[in-house]
Amino acid sequence: MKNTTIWKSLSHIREDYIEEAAPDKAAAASAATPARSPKSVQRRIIEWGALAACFALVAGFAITGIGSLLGNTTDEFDRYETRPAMNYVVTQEASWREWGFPCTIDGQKLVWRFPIIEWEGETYALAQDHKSYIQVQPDQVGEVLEEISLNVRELSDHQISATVNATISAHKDIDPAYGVVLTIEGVENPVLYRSGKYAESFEELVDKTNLQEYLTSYEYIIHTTQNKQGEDVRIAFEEMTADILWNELLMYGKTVDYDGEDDEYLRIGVGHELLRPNAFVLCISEDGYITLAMLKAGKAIYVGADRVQAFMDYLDANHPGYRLVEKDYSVPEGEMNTVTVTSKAHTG
Amino acid sequence: MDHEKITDGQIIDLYFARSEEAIAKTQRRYGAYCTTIANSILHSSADTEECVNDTYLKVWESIPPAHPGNLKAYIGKIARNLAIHRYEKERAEKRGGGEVPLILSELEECVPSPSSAEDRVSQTVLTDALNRFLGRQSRQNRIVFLRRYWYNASVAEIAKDMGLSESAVKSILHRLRNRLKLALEKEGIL
Repeated sequence: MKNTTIWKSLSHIREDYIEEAAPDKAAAASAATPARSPKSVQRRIIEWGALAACFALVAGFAITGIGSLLGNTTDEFDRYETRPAMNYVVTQEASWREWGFPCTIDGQKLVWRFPIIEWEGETYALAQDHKSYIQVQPDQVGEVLEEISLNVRELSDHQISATVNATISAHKDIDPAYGVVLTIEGVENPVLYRSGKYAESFEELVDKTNLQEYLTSYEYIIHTTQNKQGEDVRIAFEEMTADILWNELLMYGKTVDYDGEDDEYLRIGVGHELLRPNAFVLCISEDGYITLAMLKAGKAIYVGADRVQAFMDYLDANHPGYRLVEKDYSVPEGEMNTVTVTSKAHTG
Repeated sequence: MDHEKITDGQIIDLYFARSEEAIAKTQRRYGAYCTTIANSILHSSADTEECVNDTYLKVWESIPPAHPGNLKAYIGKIARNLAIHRYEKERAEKRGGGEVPLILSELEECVPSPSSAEDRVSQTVLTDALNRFLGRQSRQNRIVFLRRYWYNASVAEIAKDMGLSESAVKSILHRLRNRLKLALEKEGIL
């Protein structure tokens, strides 16, 4: 087959795709996005909900992801929704499906629902900040990370701020055929704190960082780490295969103890930052607790220590099922394809 | 003035009535669109003009019996096909310029080698596979892909239209080509 065969065959693709991508349409669609005004309130809510969902992906992707990857259905999903730590009052629901998100992995769609709350006349979408696990085959790791990263980037016009911290680990005695565990952790982006304080605005954030350059600079997911001998090791997930990854784990993985049982898990960490301008992670951070990430349309909102109590009072009054929680995550020994998330009330 | 409000359906009705006004209406409504498509391939004012005129003629000849559901895309397809034919004819004599050689070299990544399995796959099968592939992509990805490989737009143009950086567009295209190759391989087309 020639390259021209594909080029010519494109002439006969679906007409709605052709019209959708027509130059005037594409420009109009792009131009219309920042304004948002033509969209209905409902659509805005869903759209910003999708934003939160997107952050929730990096914050808690694997809860639904595991279900999909392992072939589970909505039961897993529903269980997630009713976990004690997630006992929000859900006023709106939205699906990533209509936003082309999340990714398709082995033909399965991941779906995420999330809560939205109203506070002081504004609509907020809540997402959790937590760590999750997916068991994948080694040669899927690059694909999963790439899909996550790319899909987050695709929402760049929605401007999300987030970080993916992925860690690949496996018990040293486990056969490679069983796969590895991909840990995905969402955290607030350290760039936000580079100046030593919260940025007051997106412009300030850009001024004080190399954000714009940073956002547009990556091509591949490449991680540089050090092996046991202290030598630099580069891991390029773009071309990752099962054999390569397994060898990397065996040769360079650092041994960690997940559960106090003195087991040896091999681990390679991959920090992959994704920061979107104009949508700010709102961190409620007091006494070391960063429990919620909130995204709000249009402008930066920060709740400093002096407003945390007011916000929590509001939650107590209007969403009585909601509590701050301290979470404990662990991978049960011998059950690496099972996720255990336990919560306990924060009494501090 | 009425031409500003005329609908595609009314234009098609004019074709069916064999009214030559249909061509004039088509020209007003889609002339610039056709010119953009043809010029993106031919990069020659004279060739583009001829190609666009050929497009009107082809539309006139094909409607009826054709009754396109999407007149804009229908005309765009004809303009693109005619421009490709003209481009290939020109290329047989001399190397073409503009974005096309670059685009073709990019699409080279989606095929194993230029000579293997030469055109064994029917166009219908390939087109169906492309439709399925495109259907699985997000709207933005699909638009970026088609702006590049259907409308032959430059990366800079796409970036400007879509409000993305050029590197973001390149990154998306790179991944989409990889995905397309994978998809075609999975479907046994490559």
